[in-house]
Amino acid sequence: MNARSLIDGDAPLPADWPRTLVIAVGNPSRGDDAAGPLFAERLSSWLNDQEHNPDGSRPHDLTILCDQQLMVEHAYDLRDRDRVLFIDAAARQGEPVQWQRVEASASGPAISSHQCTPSQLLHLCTHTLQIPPPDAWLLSLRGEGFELGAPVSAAMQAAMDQAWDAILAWVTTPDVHGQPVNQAAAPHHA
Amino acid sequence: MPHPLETATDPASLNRVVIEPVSRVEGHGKVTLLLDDDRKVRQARLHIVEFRGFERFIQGRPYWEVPTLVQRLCGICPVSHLLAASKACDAFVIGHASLTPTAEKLRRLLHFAQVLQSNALHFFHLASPDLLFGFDDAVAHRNIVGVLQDERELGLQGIRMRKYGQEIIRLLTGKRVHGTGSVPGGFNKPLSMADRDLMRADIGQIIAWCDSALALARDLFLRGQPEQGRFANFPSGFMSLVRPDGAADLYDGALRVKDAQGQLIVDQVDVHDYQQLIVEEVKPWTYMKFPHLRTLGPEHGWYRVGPLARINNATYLDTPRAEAARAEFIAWGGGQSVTASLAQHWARMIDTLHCAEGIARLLDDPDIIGTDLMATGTPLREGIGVIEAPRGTLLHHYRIGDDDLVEYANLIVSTTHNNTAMNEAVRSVAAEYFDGREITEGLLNHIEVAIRAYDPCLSCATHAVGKMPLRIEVVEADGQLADVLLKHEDGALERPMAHAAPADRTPANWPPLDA
Repeated sequence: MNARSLIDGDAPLPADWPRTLVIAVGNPSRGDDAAGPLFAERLSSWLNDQEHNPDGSRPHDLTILCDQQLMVEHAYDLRDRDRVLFIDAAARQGEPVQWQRVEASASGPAISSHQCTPSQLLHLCTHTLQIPPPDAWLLSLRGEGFELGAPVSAAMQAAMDQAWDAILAWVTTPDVHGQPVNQAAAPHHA
Repeated sequence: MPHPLETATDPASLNRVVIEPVSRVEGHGKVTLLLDDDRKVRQARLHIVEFRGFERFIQGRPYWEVPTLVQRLCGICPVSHLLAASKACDAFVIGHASLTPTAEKLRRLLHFAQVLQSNALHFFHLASPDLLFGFDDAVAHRNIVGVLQDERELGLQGIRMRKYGQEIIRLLTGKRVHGTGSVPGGFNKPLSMADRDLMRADIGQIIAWCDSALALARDLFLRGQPEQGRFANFPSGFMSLVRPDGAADLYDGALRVKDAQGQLIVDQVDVHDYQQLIVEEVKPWTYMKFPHLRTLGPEHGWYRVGPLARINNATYLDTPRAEAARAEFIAWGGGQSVTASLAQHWARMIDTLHCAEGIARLLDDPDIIGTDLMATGTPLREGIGVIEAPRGTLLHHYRIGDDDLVEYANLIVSTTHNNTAMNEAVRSVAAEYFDGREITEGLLNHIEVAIRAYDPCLSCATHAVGKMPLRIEVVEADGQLADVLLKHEDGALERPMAHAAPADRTPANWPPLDA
């Protein structure tokens, strides 16, 4: 396969390929499931507002992706990344905002072809694509309603507000690589 | 074709086993098996809580927003909804006029890419573990990771075929998700020569992978005889779109229904007459409707859709490799419709090869890089669009008012068409594999295997983390919980005795169990 291939996972990456990745997941039309897309939008807007460095380079080494579902092909997006943050709504969790480290794992829901977990993605990287897995974290926000056409709930909005500073800290602080995010960069969730 | 297990005569005296894959938020499947004191299956139902609110979500919106809006109904097949809605909404722009050749071919290219990537994902990452390792293989191994450990190249091909389809979608619609491309009346973005060439560069490899995947799917099914042939094998009708000459067509055509013997029940039914052909029955124990042929009634008129239906129904496929494979498939079935649920995987890979060949042909067509994208005509106020989505026939029907807002919407998605068939598959498997045996993860997986063959779209859109993927409950007839089997996300099984009342663990939006 040549370098112009759509499917060559080993094709050279651009020289300015950001080493930090945020993947926000969710359906903007399903109530609190919109948390991921809304964060992606807010983060993109914030990034666009940042002034470039004097040499014209970007101030933050960051790529932001947003998708309705996490699927196997996202493993390619993890190539040559140092850090990745998955942002998603959670149907059931105790805290409104929760950070957890993602470890590679093969297991997960397998009754339909409609989803893939962050852990499975990391496993694909390691065992199939021979891609060194980045340091990966999952930020999950507790949702209350997921009806089609429903607005984001007040509780989710509050959770998003609570999580914003921590997300910025994670994005702008390369030092948190390999550190417990909820302590080093997410004081709201300690 | 009624089944005696659907409704037990004395359900109050039965135990209940609930298999609850709660991996989605609003829409998830649940299997309820009512057992008698001898642990014999007396009643089986597949509950799917989904698709509520689709029509309400669309009504009141301007029609030109609909093709984009409906992509939010499914995170896996957004392009299928985009195209079905575009076809329906064409009527609001061009009436009965035809699309330009370039617009139709771009839509077909988009559709082939969508079906190819979805089918590949299903086969490599969902079905292959069951087929390669058998249903009783250790749960820790019988998954995509097991495939990757044992057959790494196979798993890699699956990812790359999925990626190829997704990349075509991105190039045609401008975005990885929720792009446009297809709009009422045509297509809004031409395909550049450079992007066409980029797609061309890989299609030879994709066809080769499709060839080998098809051979694998066929060989695994044939090697698994007679068990795989018997598994969830039941007679039914089959419905799909065909051209006037009977060739299968994923994008357009008229409706054909064959019976289990391969005989035509109806043929060349104009999709605009679908309400004369199909009626949707409501049952009190599930939100999902049960479509069936109006003339045959609910007991005899239900049917299957999807790859198996498409291959069974086609007079021929218009691409050479896929047509040769179709002929082999039909010959194996002795000329009758192949009714084994697991043959769906073999059929799906014929379908996939057909898509790859179709992509290659379109990329060689000069029209594909044309720039005449929008047609004109006399607008109408009602439109119906039907396509063959990866899982089967998908129907969108809209009416708009003088203000161009949608007043009426009706969607029949593939999973709804297959509702009775999936229930039948569960009942068939439960009757054969569960009677009188202890409930184990391996046995329960037989039911999952049957469901996986149809890959139901369980709610289609909401993604959220943190739900238990599988829960099995045994509930006595008096409502007391007798046993609980949890299947955690890491595959580990746990059998705790729950202390809360069953009602406390049942989502509020579920229909009553005893309805």
